[in-house]
Amino acid sequence: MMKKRFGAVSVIASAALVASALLVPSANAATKTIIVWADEQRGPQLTKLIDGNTTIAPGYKIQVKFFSALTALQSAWDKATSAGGPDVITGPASFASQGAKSGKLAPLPYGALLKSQIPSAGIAAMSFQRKIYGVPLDVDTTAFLWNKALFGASAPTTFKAMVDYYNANKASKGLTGGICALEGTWGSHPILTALGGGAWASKGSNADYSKVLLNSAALKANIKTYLLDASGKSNGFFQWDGCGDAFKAGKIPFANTGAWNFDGIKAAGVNFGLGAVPGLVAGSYGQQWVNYSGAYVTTFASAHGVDLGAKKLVMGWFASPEGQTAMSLASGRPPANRIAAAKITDPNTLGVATAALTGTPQVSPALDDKAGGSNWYDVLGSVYTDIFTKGKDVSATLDAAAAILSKNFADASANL
Amino acid sequence: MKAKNLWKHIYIWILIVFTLFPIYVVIESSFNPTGSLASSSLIPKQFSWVNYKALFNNPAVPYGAWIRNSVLIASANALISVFIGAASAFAFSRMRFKGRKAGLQTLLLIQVFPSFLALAAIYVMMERVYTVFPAIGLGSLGGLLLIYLGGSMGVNAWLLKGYIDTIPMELDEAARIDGASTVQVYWLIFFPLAAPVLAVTALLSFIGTFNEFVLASLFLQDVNKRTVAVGLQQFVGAQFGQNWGPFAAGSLIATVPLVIVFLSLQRFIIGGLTQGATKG
Amino acid sequence: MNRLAGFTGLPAQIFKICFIAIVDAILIAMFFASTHKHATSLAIVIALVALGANFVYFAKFTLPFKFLFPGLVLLVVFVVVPILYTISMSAFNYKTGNEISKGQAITQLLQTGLAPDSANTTYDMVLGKKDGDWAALLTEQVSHQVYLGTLKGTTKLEKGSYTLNSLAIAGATAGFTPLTADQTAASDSAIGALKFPLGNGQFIAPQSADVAVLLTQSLVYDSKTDTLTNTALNRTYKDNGDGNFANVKDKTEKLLPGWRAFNNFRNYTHLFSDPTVRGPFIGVFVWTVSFAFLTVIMMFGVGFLLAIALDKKIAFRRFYRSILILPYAIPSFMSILIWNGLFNRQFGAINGLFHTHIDWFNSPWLAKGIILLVNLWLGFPYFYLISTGALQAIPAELEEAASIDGASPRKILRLIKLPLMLQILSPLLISSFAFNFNNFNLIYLLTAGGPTDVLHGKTAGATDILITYTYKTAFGSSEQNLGLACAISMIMFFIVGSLSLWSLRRSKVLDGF
Repeated sequence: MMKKRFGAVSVIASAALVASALLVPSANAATKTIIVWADEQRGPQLTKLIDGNTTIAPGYKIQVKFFSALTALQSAWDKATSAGGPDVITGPASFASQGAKSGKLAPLPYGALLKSQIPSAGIAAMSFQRKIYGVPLDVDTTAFLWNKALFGASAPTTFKAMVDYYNANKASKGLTGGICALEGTWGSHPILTALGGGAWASKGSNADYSKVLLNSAALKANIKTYLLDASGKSNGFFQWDGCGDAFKAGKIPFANTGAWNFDGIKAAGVNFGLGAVPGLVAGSYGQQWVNYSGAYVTTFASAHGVDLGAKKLVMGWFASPEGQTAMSLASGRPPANRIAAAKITDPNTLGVATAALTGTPQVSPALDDKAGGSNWYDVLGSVYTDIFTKGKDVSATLDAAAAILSKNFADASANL
Repeated sequence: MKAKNLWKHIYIWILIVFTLFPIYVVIESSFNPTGSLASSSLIPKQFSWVNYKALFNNPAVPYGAWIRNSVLIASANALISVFIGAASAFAFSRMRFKGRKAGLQTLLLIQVFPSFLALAAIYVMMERVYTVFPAIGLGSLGGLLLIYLGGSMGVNAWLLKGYIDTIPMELDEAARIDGASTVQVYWLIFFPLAAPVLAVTALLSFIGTFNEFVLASLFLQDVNKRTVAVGLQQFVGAQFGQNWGPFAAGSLIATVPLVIVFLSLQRFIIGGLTQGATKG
Repeated sequence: MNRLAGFTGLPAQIFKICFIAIVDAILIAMFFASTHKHATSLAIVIALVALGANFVYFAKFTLPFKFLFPGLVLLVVFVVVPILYTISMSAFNYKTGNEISKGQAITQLLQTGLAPDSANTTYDMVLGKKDGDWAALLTEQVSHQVYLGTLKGTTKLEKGSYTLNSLAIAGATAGFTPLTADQTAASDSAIGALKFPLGNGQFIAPQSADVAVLLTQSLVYDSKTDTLTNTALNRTYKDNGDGNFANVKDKTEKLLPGWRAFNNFRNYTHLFSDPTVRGPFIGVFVWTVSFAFLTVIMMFGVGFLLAIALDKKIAFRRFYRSILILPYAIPSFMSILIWNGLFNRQFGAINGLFHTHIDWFNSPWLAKGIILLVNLWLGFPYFYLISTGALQAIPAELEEAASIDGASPRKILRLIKLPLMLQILSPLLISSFAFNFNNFNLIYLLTAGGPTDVLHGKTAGATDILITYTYKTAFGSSEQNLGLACAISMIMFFIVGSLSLWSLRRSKVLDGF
C-alpha cells in the first residue's frame, strides 16, 4: 500500500514539475513602465495623448489607467501602497496636501525656467509646508452663464438686475429659479462673494484666515434683501441642488458652472453668454474659487525604479507648454502654464480663463479642514438648507457656521 | 367573504399597495420619455423605449458590460460556493472530529464580523497579487470572485448543515454496508438528495453577490468592469433628476429575470426558510 | 458496491491523481512566478497551500479536511487574515499622516529636508560615465555655464573643452561616455541617489533623466540617537512615541509625514475619554440599537400578522403571496435606491403625488421614519415566510384542545400561538437583529447617515448607525482614521458576536446528535 502511494506521489510530482516549467514566465527584461492614474474625465483624454508613449521619457513606456469616477480614484489612492500604486497621479490640488502628509508624494524641484512659466497661485495650490508636490495642469473654476434667449444678448450688470428679472418673469415664463449653482456649494462661491460674503478676508494680496467672512453684516443684509421674501422664506432665486436640468430647459435664466458642462448645455439648445457673476454695483463681480488640478510624482515611483522617468514625464510634459496645450484642447479647461494659456483660441476656454482672473484661490487645506467638526463645504450645505429650505434665522445660522469655520481656518493656517 | 375575514382582506390589500407602489413607479418611469421622477399623476401619459435605448448607446454607461459582469461573477460565485458550502456542511453534519463545534462557532463569529473594515487589508493584499497575477489581482473579476468565495464557507455551510441534518443517517449507513466510501456517499447519495436545496442556496447566493457593492466599488475600478450594483449606484448617485429614467429601465432589466426565477422556485425557497425556522 | 455503480476504483484513482497533478502544477507555476517577481509573502502562502493540499488529499486520517480544505483555504486567506490585520490595526496610531512605516517616513522626511538655493539653480544634464564611475555634464539653465559633475566633486568646464549637442547643451567632453536612454532608465534608482558635491554642504542631484538641481540637505538623521536635526534652524526632532518626530523644545511642532506607531490601545480609551469622539459615538450607538430593535419588531409584527391573514382559508392565497414576496426577490440595493428617488424633495414621486415639498431627508425624524419604512418594505416578506413556517410547525392539536376549552381564536393567537412562535423564531429574530445592527447598505444608500447637524458641531448624522459612522471615520473624507475605525468595529464585533453566540448556545443547535 505504501509503495502505491509513493508511486502516485512521484507521478504527480513529475507531472507537476513539467507542467509548471511550461507555465513559468520567461525572464525577459521588460521596458520600464510609468503608470499614470487619472479620473474618468481626464483619463480618456490622457489615454489618447500619452498612453503607450515611449518618447516623452526615453527608456520608459507610459501607461494610463483611469477610474470610473473621481471618488473611485480617491478611494484607491487612499489605500494604495507601493505594490500596485501609481508612479504619477493626476487630480485635484487637495491631493498635494494629503499626499504630503501621508508620505505618498515626493516633493518636486522646480527649475527656474518652469517657475517662470507657472503662475504663483498654481504653485501655491501644489504646496504644503513650503514644499511643492506637483505641477498644476489646468484651472478648475466656474464661469457665469446667462441664457441669451431669456435675458437678452448682454450680461446683467448688477445682482439686482438679475433678481428684478426673476421676479418680473417668474410667473409669465414659469421660472423655477433665478441662478443655479450647478456645482453645488463649491460652485456657489461667486454668488456668496457677490453679496459681500465669502470664506476668509484678504489682506492685500494675501489671505487673512483669522477673519471669517461668512457671517459678515453685508452678507446677512443682502441675503435678506435679494434671496428671501418679506416673510423670511426663500424667494426661489438661489438654487444650488439639482437645478441643472431646469437651466438646460430654460426655466432658470442664470447659472454658474465649469467648462466640462458647456457641451451638455449647448446640446440642450441653450444659447448662453459667458462672464462673471455681477456684484451689487455695476463693474463689481463675485469671485469664484480658482483651483488647479495637478500631476504628482508618487514615492512609489522610486520603489518601482522609475522615479527619474516619472519626474521627466511630469516636469517635461505635464508641466510643459506643449503638454498643457494638448490637454486643454482635449478637455476645454484653461491650462495653467502661461505659454500654453497664451495659445488658447477656443472661445469657451477663453471665457473661463477670463472669468478665472476675477476668482479667488481655493486653498484646499483650509477648506477641507475639519478641526471645528465639519469642513467648509458641509458647513455651507447646512447653511443653505437651514436658510433656504427650512427658513431658519439668517443671522444665527451664519454665526454658528462662522464659529466652526474660524476653528478650521486657524488649524489649517498653522500648517500652510 | 365572511365578515370576520374582512380585516384580513383590508390588511392584505394595504400591504399589496405598499409593496407595489415603488415597483409601479419604476415601471412607469422607465417608459416615460421625459425621464423625470416628478410625475404628479400615476397614470402614464406617454410611452417610449427611449430610456432603454439610452442604456445601450452611452459609452460612459456600459450597461451591457455591467450586466455581463454581474451575471458572470454572481453565477460563478453561486456555483463554486455551493460546492464549497455543501462539502463543508457535509463534513460538519456527518463527521465527528476534533474542533468541529469550535469550527462551527468560529464560522458564525467570522460571519458577524463587520468585515468591510478589512477592506484596507484586502486592498493591500490584492494589490500584491496583482503585481504577479493580474488576472486574479486588484481590479479583476477573478480576484473579486476569490474574495467572495472566501466568505462562502461561512454563509453556506451553516445554511446547508441544517438541511443535511434532516436527511436520515440510515441512508448513509445502508450505503456504507454496501461498501461505499465516505466520498461515494457524498457524491452518490447526499448530492442528488440535496439538489433542490442546493439550487435554492445557489439562487440566494446569486442574489447576494448581485447585491454586493461595497467591496465591488473599491475593487473594480475600471468603468467597463463594474457590476450592475456599483454602476447603477454611481450613475444615479448624484443626479436623480437627470438619470432617473434610464436608471429605472436598468433596474427593471436586471430585476425581471431574477424575479421570474425566484417566483418559480418559490416553493423550494419557502420550504428552505421554513426548514430553518422550525429547526431552530 | 454494484448498487453504487459509478465512478470508482482505478479510473477514479487515476482521475484523482490527474486532478491533483494539475492543481499542483498550477500552484508550483504560481510559486515560481512569485519568487521570480520577489513576492516573498505571496510565494510562502502559495507553498503552504500546495503542501497543505497534498498532505490533506494523500494522508489517510484527514477525511473531514478533504471536504473542508478548499473552503478553509479561501476562508483563511481572504477573510481571517484581513480580520486579524484589522484587529491589530486597532492598537495602532493609523490615520491620515501616519500611514507608512518609520523607515519610509524617515526617507520621506529627508527628502523634504532637501532645499534648493534661492535662485532655484537648475542644470540640463547629460548623464554618463567617466573612468568607470558616474559622471554628468551639467549646463546651468540661466548662465549656460557648464560643469562636469563626478562623485568626488564638480569642476567648471571652460568653453572649448566640451562640445554642444543638438539641444544646445554640453553633450561630450574628453573621457566622458554618455549613457543611452535605455541605460539611464535601467539604472533609475542608482541615478536618483547620485550626488555631485559642490562643497559647503551643497550638491547637485539629478531630478529626472536630463535635469539636475542645486540642493542642500537641511535635515539630517542620526540613527544612533534616532533624532532628526534641522541644521538651518538648529532644531532637533525626537520620536514622540506616537508616530511622529516632534521638536524637543516644542512638542506641538511635529514633522509630517509620520508613521504607524503602536499606541497602547489609545483608540479604545479615546472612545470613552475624548469628548469629541465619545459624544457622537454614544449618540450613534443608541440609535443603532434602537433602529435594529425597532425594525425587527416592525418587520416581525407586519410579517406575522400577514401570515395569520394569509392562512389557508383565504381566497387567491397564492396570488397574494406571489405579490407580497416581491420585495424579497428584488435586489435590495436597487429597492433602496428606488426608495431614495421616491422621497427626493424636488423630483420624488411622493412629493409629486401629494403636491408637497417636504424635504424628507433633511429632517432627522422624517429620515429615521423613512429608514424604518423602507426596511419594513424590504423585510416583511421574509418574516411573513418564516412566520408561516413556524405557524405550520405548531401542532394542530394544541389549537383544537384550546378551542374545545372555549378559548376564542384571538385568545388562542395571543396566549398560545404568539408565545410559541416567539420561542421558535427567537434565533432568527436575533440574527435579524444582528444583521440590521450592521445594515450598511440600507443607511448608506438611503440617507448616507444624514442629515448631519453640522452647524451645531455634530460630526455624526442623525441616521448614522455604527457601521456607517465607522465607514466615515475610516474612509469617509480627506481625514481618515483607520485605527479608531478598527477599534469601533471591534466593539461592534464584540456586541454582535456575543449576542449571536449566546443565541446559538441557547438554541442548542450544536448539541444535535
